[in-house]
Amino acid sequence: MNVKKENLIRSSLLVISVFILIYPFLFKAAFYQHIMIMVFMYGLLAVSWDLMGGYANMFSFGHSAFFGIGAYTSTVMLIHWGINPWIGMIVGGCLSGIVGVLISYPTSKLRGHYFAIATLAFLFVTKILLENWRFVGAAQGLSVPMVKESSLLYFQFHGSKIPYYYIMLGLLVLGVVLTKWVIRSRIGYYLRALRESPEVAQSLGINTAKYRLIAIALSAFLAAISGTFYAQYVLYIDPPSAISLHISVQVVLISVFGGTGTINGPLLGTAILIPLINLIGAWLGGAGRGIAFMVFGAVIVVMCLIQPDGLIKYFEGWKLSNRRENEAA
Amino acid sequence: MKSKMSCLTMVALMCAIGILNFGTVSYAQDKVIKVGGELPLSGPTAPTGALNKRGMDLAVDIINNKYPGLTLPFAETEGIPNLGGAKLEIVYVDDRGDPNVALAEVERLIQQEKVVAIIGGWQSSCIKTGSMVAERLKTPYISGAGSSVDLTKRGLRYYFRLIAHSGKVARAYFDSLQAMEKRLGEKYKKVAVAYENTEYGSVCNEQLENEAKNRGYEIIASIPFDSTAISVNVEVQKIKAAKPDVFFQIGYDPDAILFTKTMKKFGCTPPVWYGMAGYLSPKYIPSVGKDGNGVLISGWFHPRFSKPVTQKVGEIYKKRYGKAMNIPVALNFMTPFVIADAINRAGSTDKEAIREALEKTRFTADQNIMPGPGIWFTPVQPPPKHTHDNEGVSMLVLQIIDQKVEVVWPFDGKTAEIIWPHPKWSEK
Amino acid sequence: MDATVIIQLFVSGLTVGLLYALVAIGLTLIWGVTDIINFAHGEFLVIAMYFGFFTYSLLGVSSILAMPVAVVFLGVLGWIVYRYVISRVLKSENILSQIVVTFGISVFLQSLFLFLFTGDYRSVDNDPWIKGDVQVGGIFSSTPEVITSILSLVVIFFINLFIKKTYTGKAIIATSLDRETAQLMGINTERMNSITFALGIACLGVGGVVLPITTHVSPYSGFLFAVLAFTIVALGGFGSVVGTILAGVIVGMIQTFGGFFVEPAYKYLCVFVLYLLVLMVRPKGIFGW
Repeated sequence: MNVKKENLIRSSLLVISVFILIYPFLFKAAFYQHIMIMVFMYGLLAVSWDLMGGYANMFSFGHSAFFGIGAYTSTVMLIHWGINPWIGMIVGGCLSGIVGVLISYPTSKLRGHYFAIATLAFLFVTKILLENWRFVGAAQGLSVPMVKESSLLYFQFHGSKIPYYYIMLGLLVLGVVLTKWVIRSRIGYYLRALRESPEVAQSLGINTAKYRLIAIALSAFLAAISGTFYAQYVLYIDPPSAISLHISVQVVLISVFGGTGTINGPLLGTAILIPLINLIGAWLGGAGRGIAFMVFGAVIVVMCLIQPDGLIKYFEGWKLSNRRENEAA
Repeated sequence: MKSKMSCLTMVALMCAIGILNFGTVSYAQDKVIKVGGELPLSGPTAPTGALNKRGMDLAVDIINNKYPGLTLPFAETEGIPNLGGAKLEIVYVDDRGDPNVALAEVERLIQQEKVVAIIGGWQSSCIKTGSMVAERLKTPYISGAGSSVDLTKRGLRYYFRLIAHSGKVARAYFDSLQAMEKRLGEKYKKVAVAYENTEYGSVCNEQLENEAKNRGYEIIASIPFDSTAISVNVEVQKIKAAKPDVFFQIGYDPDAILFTKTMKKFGCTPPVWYGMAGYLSPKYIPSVGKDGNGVLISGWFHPRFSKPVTQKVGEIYKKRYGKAMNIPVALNFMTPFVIADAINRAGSTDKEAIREALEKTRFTADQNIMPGPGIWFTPVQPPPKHTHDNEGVSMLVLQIIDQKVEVVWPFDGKTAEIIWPHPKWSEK
Repeated sequence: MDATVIIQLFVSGLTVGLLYALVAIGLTLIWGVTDIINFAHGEFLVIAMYFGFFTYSLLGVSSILAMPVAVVFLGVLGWIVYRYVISRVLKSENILSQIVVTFGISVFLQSLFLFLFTGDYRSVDNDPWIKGDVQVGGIFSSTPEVITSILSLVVIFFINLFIKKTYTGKAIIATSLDRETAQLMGINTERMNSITFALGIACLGVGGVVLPITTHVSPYSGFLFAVLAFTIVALGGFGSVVGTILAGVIVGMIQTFGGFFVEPAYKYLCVFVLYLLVLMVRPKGIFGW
């Protein structure tokens, strides 16, 4: 790749980064800020999913369950024991990771379609259990106790979405950095080997199970972080909103659209599709929501047909000289 | 000559000034005050949502135009007097019966449409989240429906509720039950409750359980279900096996119909059958026909109830829409009046001023079409006391008789004689 | 415990199980032959349901009259979807794409329904032909439920006949058992795929039109049926017609008995938990190939 092109890419990235940083001051309307916040939130979800689906080859359609575990854990801890939601967030993440690991044991033998269906079943089981468990509000859901004035300590802001914007952006950046660090480490190396040819990997003595578990645990942890953010953003969660097939499916579809197994792909997918859905929905008003998701569904189908490896494939050659992308030795 | 000219000029000038003033006055009169209206306009409770909207639209029409002889506030004038006759306008959003959609839509109403208040709401779960957002954004929210007791136990400063909550409903049910027991010399013991499992249903269930226990009845079955369920075969089989004396079915539109059909299929006839909300859907009686006869329903309103203002409004509604006014129309009918009254007394569209004015609301019995002495709210109190709950409301019990809804209790206000016990399916 | 109650539960479980089997039979064929799980199966069912509902509400006749139209429409639609979407994705050999594309179709269809028909819940309350309750010696059911059970048995019987006795049917079995060998034997496996897909979707037109009588139809009605159908097919083993009926009935029984003895709110939970258990023990299902 020639120097000119590299410089162009570098300066574009810089412009985009600055734009993202000053966005809430350019677009003051709450709705536009909300869209970007959703982009960041789904972005983290998509990145976490890719770790499990794109790298460890476990296509989870129940990812929203981890999201929900995060949201519920921090909220329950706040309501029942008065524990600060930031702490609750970490606890939720860990709990989610543990659940992820536990689920993977019985389902590790399953491949492809079967694993997907098993994750669906797991999602519904979680949802039904939560719907009937009084301690977590059952079907009525839980309202996060409102603090009178906006507060960073209590992770609640009224009146302005700007603090939420930067917090979610920060969480996303942390999540991406963490994920990429794992991918580039030995663990990621083994995962890629696993993905390319599992038999060879096993014959080389790589402990496939152990690395899978690490990927799942981290994936679940990050998804749960998104969940806690959601709970503190909206201040109300119930099983349909937190453990939602809708969210799960969107996360998968967005990641596949962008290109799985790349981390950048899902981010790209999120950045394009989430604003698209929201803007169409808003622009067309009442019937708009139906049309927005029709477009979404159609776009997904088309992408699967013309470029199953996702949108990021078109950017495959774009490497910058001091960055190493995924290369199995 | 000169003085005549100057006289004429003076007159002409004065006329011009007069016309200009008129112009400015009518310009101010064109001013519109926007309030947000949150309703389920699509989704499982859409038929009921549409009725709510009719009630609210009729109310706005009465406020904005002249309706001489009607004792409701602002009926005689056009618009809101203290704001120069400014007209009230409702900007509706569809919450689709989903509390998360309610949350997003109310937020949008406040931040983008810049409404001064939110009125309406039907499902308690949606009102819960909608009012929560309104509180965060310091905007008054008045709901005419939303019977879940918990809604007013949150200590919210901006939320006000008109309807009698489910605790009062439970009390009315058991009062009517015990009144009939006394009349017939019967004693019922076993109670079964099937309730839809969101805010509304589960809180109702709690209230019914409390009343039942306090009065010495036994709850033998307590069955949550999904209002939009595909089938309730298993639920009804459980109820049938339990053989209750008194059956409460608390739900919304789709399940009221489904339960009725399924109970009939299994030949299950409890001696006493009380229903709520879903049985008031405009689809209910047309869908189940005579199978709906005999169900007792919580009566927040009835058009032939003995207040003159109620009957007058009932007539206006019937003339306009060809059908009798019913509960879904009536519940949110008063909300535009309450907000208009508060805006009027505040003399401004400042949300804080409106909020303070709301706390001092005082409607008399004639100014309110609902049963009861009027409308006034409890003050802001910490839970478990009620904040901004309407104390001026009282309850009726209704029954579907010959595919029409009648008032059967309190006995002295009735429009028809109660049918008791619940008729067998073949006899309906 | 009253014997009547048990028998009643059995009958209820049977009728609902047969209904589920009717929905699942198309799925098992598609899965067995093309190796694709059609995640949009529920939405195709909803198309049939809307056909039935609108036939009743707009024309005033029994919704069952919509059946031939629905079957043909869905058959053609299935063929088109296979030819232009599914077959391409199969060629790309990207497993995730194959899973995701039917999800994309599902999202698209659901939103299409929302847009065309709004989110309201509709039901056929007074069908002129299929109505009434049935009582046999203290055991209750309803005419619509009996009819769907009969339809289910009839459809499955004919599918079985088709598969076992006709040349095309046998070719379909051959394709699902071993694709390469079938091709070597001169079978046009692509054609087998498209026929199966079309047939599988068309099956939904049979039961779907009558469903709005016993329950309601909305854009969201499809997904619960679909998830239960997946469970049934995975339990009974993909491709096995016998397996589908048995698994369908088993699921119906678990839902009914489980719901009654444990708690009605957990009626689906019991089904899913059982499914997860079976999956761990015997991933290919009870009768799977």
